[in-house]
Amino acid sequence: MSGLRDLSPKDLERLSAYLDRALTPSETAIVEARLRVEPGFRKALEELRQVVVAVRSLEEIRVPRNFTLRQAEVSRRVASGYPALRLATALASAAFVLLSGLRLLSPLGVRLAAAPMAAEPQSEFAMRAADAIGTEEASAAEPEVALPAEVPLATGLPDTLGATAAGEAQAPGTPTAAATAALKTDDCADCPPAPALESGAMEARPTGTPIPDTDLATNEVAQARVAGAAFSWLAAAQWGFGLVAASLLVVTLVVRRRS
Amino acid sequence: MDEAGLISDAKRGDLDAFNRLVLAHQTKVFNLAYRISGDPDVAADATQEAFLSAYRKLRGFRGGSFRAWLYRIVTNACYDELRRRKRRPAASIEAIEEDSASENGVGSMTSLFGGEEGPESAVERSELRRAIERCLGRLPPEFRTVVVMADILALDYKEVAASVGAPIGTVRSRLARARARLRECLEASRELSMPGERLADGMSS
Repeated sequence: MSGLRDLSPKDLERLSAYLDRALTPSETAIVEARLRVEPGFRKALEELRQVVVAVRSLEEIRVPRNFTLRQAEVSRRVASGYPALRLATALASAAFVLLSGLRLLSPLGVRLAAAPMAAEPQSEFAMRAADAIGTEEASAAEPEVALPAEVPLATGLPDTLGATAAGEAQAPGTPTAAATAALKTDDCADCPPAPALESGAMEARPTGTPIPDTDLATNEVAQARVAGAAFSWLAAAQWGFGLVAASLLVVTLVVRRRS
Repeated sequence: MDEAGLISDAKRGDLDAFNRLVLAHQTKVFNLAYRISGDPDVAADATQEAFLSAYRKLRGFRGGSFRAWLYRIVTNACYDELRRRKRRPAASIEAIEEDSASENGVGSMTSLFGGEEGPESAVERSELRRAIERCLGRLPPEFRTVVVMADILALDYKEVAASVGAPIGTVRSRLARARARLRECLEASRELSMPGERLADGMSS
């Protein structure tokens, strides 16, 4: 053994740690025993020691300036998120505009698709329900069911509410009951109570034969519900992005002013 | 006030308290950055960025060695700064050293070294210093960092491990291998023989 180059990685680590006094007492004893009998081991230690001494001889460098922080510097750095805020505002605004455009274009189709589908099946279903329950009850149910389909056409924003109400009214098994519960008005004092109608409708099905047209109507109603739901999501996303864009704009302006 | 008190005040947003911590640690932090990067400008930028980053992250400091926590931040800042500058055309560390040498010790880098010396001693020490710095610069960054922390900043293995985010066993292994590589490099540059003996003598005395 003739020095550092011939050391195994383990011995190199041991000698290096020995110089740093980082060995356990038992490891130190083993190293010192070997140092007493192995000249090559001693030579390797000396070579390693020279390197450590040389590196430690490097003088400490004076700092070129103080690195203390100033309040303005800290504030400015905190405001360094301004570009990211500006980008986020732009993206949210773009999303809002895009969704607004989609809603402007799509309501026509959604309404055309949703409104007749929502109205016709209800009328048919109500007619059949009237057959099953009785003309008096059906005549009371029909205007109530037809109403939600008309509401979206009459108003702008509550499209989704109308669609949802229509969808609820079309729920199989309890169609008119839901509509009655949702839309019952004070001027309909002589209308039959909803539970009675519900029970009538529920009773009508099991006693009579299944009506295929009703299932078809239910499918169409389901499609209308999907269209309505998609439209409501679109509206929610639009107004969500609008709200986010407005909030970000305010924050961006505040940050810009402070910086 | 002791360091723990200053840290506590700084966590509550007391910038003066934090600046007292900066003054207490800035020399070691700057030296670490300089020895890792080999460039005083990179070191200054990394040091400034590290203190700003430390101020922002101070609430996340959960005790332990504050200096090890700081050194970890500045080490990462150095690596980031070096990566950023690597993407741009810039003078290499060796070119800076050559420039400094050609200016006979009055360049921007050598002016950072303080102290008046006699002519012979100054030449010897300058040669040795340049050789060590050149060899340090040739080490892989993770090796260089542990050598600087253990041998120049005199951190123990536990603090080095905390500073570089590696197990103590890894630190021990890297340090041993780094020292062996330095030995080879210094032998190759024929700078170690005389000064090394002198330094070894100095150490044994």
